[in-house]
Amino acid sequence: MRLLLVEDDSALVADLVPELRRAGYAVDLASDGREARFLGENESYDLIVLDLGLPLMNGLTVLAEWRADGNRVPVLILTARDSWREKVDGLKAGADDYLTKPFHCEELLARLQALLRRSHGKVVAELRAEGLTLDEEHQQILPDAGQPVPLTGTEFRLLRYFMMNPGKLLSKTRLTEHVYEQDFDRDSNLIEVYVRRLREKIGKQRIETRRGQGYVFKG
Amino acid sequence: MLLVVLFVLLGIAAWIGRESAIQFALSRLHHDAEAILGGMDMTQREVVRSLPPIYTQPLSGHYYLVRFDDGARLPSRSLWDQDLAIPEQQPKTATYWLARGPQKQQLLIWQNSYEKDGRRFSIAIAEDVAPLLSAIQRFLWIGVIASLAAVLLMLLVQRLAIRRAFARLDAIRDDVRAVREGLRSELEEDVPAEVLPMVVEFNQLLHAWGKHQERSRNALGNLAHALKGPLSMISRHGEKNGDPRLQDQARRMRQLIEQELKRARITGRAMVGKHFRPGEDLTDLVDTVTALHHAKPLRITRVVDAPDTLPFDQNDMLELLGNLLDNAAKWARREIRLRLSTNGELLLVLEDDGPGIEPGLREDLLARGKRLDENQPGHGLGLAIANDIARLYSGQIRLEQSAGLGGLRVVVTLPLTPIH
Repeated sequence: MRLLLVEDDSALVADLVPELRRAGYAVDLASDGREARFLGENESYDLIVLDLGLPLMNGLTVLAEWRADGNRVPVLILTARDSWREKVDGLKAGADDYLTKPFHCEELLARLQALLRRSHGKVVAELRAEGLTLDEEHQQILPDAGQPVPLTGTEFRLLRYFMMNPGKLLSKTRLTEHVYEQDFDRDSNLIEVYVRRLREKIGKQRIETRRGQGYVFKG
Repeated sequence: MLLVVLFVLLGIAAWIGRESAIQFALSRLHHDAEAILGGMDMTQREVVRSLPPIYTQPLSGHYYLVRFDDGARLPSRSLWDQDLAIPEQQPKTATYWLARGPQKQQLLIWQNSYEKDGRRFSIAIAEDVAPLLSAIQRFLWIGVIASLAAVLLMLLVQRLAIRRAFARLDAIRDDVRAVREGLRSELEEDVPAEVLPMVVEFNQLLHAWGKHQERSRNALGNLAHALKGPLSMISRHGEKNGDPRLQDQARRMRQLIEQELKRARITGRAMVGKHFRPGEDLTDLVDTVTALHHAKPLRITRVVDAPDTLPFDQNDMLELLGNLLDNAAKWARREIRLRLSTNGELLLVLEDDGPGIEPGLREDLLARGKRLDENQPGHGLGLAIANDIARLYSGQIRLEQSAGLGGLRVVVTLPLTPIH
């Protein structure tokens, strides 16, 4: 899952980014409004965490512009501004959730997870496919029968993206975009490697290859 | 003052009228005296030339009396059995005076001495000027009455004009009150030209004040923003290093900042901001609260029976209702009912199907912002903030048990007009 963190407080960023990465997000950073607007317009994110008081361009304006362009990416506003007027304005501008600073990291992660689910039309609390469940907390596979199977970070991100989009044809480019961070050297062969590893863990038939097009996850 | 001037003018007019009438009558008397003098036969001591018949008609009001130096008198026939009272002495020059005559006549008597054929004598000639004087008096009275009427009319017109001018000021006064009560944001500038500059000045003052308020609010928001970042870091370091004291202190500081900043942000009734619009604002708030608690399948039903706008600051009401709704959403299992109505005052009833609050704890919760559940941040503080806002609007908040849903029932009443 690719996440854009828009935040100008470098201390908070330094603290938050490792937590987000550990939770399985590929994190891009923007420290001012213009950069945020540009990245939001040109990259495909699964989630955006947006601060409001930003240099160069106000967070609400950035959000309103994304929405005006038809960009429906789930946005969580993370701000110290805690009046109800500001909360109402934030949600009216198109935010999906609003968390005020100071906050607990666990709460942010829980809200991000819930937001992801909602944006993929999943209401249930856990990601499931036939015969297996994804344990997001411990980043492992829980087969209905047998021992838990641990996953590496990249494997986890890739499988989660597959499970969020079952039955959909996902190109290698799209998978790369949602699994890796912006600065990552995008060699699509790496995706092939990770798909092969995932198949070893969950069964070959789960991920179908469409030659020249991409992969389909069978839910 | 006006009346005094008027009466002085009328007095002068009366005096001029009277004097000119007397002078006019005197000149006629003088001419008649000349005629008598010319027609006087000194040997027969008789007036031989014929005089106007008015001097022969009895008591006609026109008389003469010739008195010779030996005391002999020659009265006009019109004097009949009456006499003209004239001084014994022969006058040295022509004199005139007013005197009473027969039949309440008012006589203007003119007398002069003459000498003809070696004999000295005086001629006194009189005319009844009563009709003339009474005519003048009548004119004077008409003048007095007309002037009085004119003055009354003027006063009346002036009074009406003043009333009308002040009636317009009444509208301005009503406007000022409406601004104070938050029903208007500025004064109507469609006013008489004389007071327009004042109204414009007042509006500019209101504007400047509103700006100032906006600035201080923003400054408070910025301070909150600036302080919360570092506090957040302190708290998170405490969390990481397992230092409960650091965490505890950071939490207390955070609470204090939140509480004081939220209180400072409340505008209250004397405001310049936007007005509360129950319909739209509640829709926004319910949407917001639903989104913030999306993990819970909440059912929020609301009934609004109120005018489109109410005389409360929009931000204050969002804060008041937002805190209450958020509190309800935190505790409710799935059901929240909200009812807002107006009947001389705003009445808001908010019920949820949560666990409710024990009677003994309710007072504490409103008063000190005590948290019932330390694990759910913002708790209790929300109720205390709501209570602060309600009190600022001379209203009150009661916490009860919901009969219908079993959870907490919050009743807010706010008077629609300020209590002085």
